[in-house]
Amino acid sequence: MLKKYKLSLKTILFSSLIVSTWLAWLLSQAVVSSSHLVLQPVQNHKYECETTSSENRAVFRVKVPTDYLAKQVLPALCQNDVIKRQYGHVEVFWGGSLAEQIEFFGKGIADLILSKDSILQALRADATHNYMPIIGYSSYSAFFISNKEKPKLEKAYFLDKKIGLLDYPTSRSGHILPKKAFKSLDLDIANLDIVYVSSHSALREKLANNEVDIIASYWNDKKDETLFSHNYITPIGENITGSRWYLKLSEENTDLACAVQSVTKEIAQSEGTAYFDSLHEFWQCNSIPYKFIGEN
Amino acid sequence: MKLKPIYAYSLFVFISLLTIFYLGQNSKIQGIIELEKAQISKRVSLDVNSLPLAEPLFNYAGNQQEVDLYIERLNKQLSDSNARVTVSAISTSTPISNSFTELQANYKTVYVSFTENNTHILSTYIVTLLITLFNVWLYRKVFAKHVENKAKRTISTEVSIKPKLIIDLYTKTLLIDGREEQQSQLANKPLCFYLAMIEFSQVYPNINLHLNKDVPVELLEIAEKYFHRLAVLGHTVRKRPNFSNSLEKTLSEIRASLDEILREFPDLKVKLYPPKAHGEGSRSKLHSYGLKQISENDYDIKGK
Repeated sequence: MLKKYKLSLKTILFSSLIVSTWLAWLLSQAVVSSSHLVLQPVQNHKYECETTSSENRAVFRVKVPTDYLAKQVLPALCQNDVIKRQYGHVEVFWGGSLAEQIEFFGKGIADLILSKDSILQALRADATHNYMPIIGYSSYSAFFISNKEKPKLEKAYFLDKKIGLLDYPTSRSGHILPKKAFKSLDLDIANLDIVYVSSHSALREKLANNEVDIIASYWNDKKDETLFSHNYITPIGENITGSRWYLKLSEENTDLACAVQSVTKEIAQSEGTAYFDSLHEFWQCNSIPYKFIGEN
Repeated sequence: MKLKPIYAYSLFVFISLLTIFYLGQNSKIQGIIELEKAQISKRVSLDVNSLPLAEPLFNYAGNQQEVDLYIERLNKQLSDSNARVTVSAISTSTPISNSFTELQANYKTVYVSFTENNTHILSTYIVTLLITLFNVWLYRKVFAKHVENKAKRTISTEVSIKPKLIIDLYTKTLLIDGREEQQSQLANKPLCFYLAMIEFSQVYPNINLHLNKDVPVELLEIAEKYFHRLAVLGHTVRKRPNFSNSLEKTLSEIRASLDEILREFPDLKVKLYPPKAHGEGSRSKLHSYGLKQISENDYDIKGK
């Protein structure tokens, strides 16, 4: 009986060890809190607001390229009296993707879109969805800009130069026109030392830092004079149509056209960059009757 | 120097528990990190189309500032939810860091690099110490019990081994417990007298029994009592003996009987043997034949 008791003491000790190891394992797992990670979309590419007539289910959709512009356009539209009357909801989408722009434009999804004449023409959006220009930024010229000398439009000149271009193919001044110039000089683009960047400001930065020798861009008298010389630019194209706001007008909704014109005009003026400096208004909204006046 | 068993045991338990705790926490943390990486990769996969990442095939330079802003916002979300993983870079070129996920799309492969925080929660390690302390406490408890048991066992074995005189009133024999083969019979008178001596010595340990004095009345009374007992048990009783008579003879009869059975147990003999008077002046007043050292454990009377 004593022997049995002694054995049970050992058993207690042993089972306590087993339970302890099990407990240690269990606690080691329990003390580290589990992960409950729910990640929300980091960038919101769609903003919306409701007008005062929220019973109205009609939605006014806008497509712009940048977040900054989207945030300006949204409250302005929701507070506009004509929009309030006609729509219950405003949705603003933003994104730089060309494919997205084509979806919004070509399929008539956007009621208002900031785009280019070339894209309108390519998609025949004026004919298919009756997109009408509302306001247009002024025409501008494209240049080769250099830091040290006036670029020469000669084949040999470009061969040993590092050239900065824009990476999106719809840019006239930063992509299409310089490439057209190379082609006319009979230069093979594959043989040129081209650096692609994503924006006009990035191009200027690279030129200022001497990372490239020549860039292709527009010329902005106010801003560019401080960094570069007006003497060291060579024009490669003139009268390039700027971006335009297009409105889908299926009816003779002249009130809406004039309302949108006033909103977009205000935004364009507040931005103040010379590239978008002088504006062209396509609608006569000062005097009755409101009407489309076209290019001139 | 030899380690004390309790220290060795504590060390063993502590190191074992520490190892288990470390491994457990490590595996949990690694699991969390993998889970979070998967969640982040999922988020980045969904957002990658609107991220201006460099795309060599289409000559896209990408916009690092915007990508950095994206990463910053994503990390803000991650730190807000106490994630162990943060994104260090998103790119289309192979990253240098060794912790990254490859997201393969149609035309491009996007690499998401991570910074992992796999630090353990050190304060929780006190758990191992507590469990160790409990085990050591249990060990001490059990060990003490074990020692106690051992002591008990030795005592009980000693008790069982310790010889004991059995005085059987049914058979009027003396024998040692467990040694039934050696027996010694006594006549009524010495038997009763011896029993009376034992009992008397227990009740009056301070009274000396002298050969030159009269036997105490109390002793005689006890002897009488045992004599009656013998009669009750059915032994042939001729007449009531006079216990005061021929004391020397009675004692030597007792001694002879005890000599027979106590030969091998000198310790017991000291206690149970009526002392003899030795040498000169042996009949002096000082000599006592009483059993001074006797204790209750030394004898057992059957049929009392």
